[in-house]
Amino acid sequence: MDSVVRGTVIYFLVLVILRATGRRSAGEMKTFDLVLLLIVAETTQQALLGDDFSITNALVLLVTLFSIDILLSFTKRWFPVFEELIDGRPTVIIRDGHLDERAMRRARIDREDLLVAARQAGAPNLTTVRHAVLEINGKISIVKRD
Amino acid sequence: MQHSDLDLGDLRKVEARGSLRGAQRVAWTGFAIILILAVLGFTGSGGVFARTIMTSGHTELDVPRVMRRQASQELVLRITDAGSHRIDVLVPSSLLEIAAFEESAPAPSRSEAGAEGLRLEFDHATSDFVIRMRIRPENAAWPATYILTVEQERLAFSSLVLP
Repeated sequence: MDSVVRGTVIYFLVLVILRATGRRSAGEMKTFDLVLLLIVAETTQQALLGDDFSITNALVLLVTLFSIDILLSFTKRWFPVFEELIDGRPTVIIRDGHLDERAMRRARIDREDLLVAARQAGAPNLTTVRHAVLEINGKISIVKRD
Repeated sequence: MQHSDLDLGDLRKVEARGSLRGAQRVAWTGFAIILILAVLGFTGSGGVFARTIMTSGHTELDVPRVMRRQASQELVLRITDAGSHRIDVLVPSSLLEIAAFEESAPAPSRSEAGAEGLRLEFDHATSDFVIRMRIRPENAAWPATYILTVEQERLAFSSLVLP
């Protein structure tokens, strides 16, 4: 039972912390995000496994984590409010060519992030971008001007 | 490649996904069974059925029903109305064949390893005495019965060691 409790607590703890941190860290990953991710992985590993290195513990933990994931995916489908709570909503950064500085600050996105997304979408600069949206998966979608 | 071939190929993929979905549901049922067993304590480490208590005379032994390989396990010995100030505990060799003896709290005043097992001697001042012993199974093992001897009392318990 301890493995199930540990797995559940750590899953929701990481989920809450990631959600509270913001979407950028999950999507547009930079070097310091990678460092953070590695440290988080190492820290949670200690908390999950503790002193128990048995295959049984690993199996129970994996089953617990994947089961929570399945349950959450169904819960999100059945209750859209829950989906918004967990995944958030897309944030419009550029609307009709106008940059929303407040939305950028809230999402902790800088101009360089937008330029990278624009270049990846084939737009040479921000003046050629009609809409830019920070999606719930942390990626920036670009709609170019015609 | 003709368009009709491409469509047929895609259809086959869709059909294959359909059959995989059935296997997925079976796997999810398996997940649910594993979780229920784990919560109840049948995979060791906590849960209603994780531990069992054996009693003989003034001695009570609290042991895990299911142990896990390479995970520390606790055996709790409670002795009430202990007559003498010295208690002799014999951890059977059959148990030591599958598990390493890690520590005991309180520490024994004397210990001796022999053919029949590990003999531990404890000095105590109070009439009610609790000994916590930690062992770590080194191999998986089928359910087997082990007999722990405390003074003249023989406490038999069965345990399974999961891999």
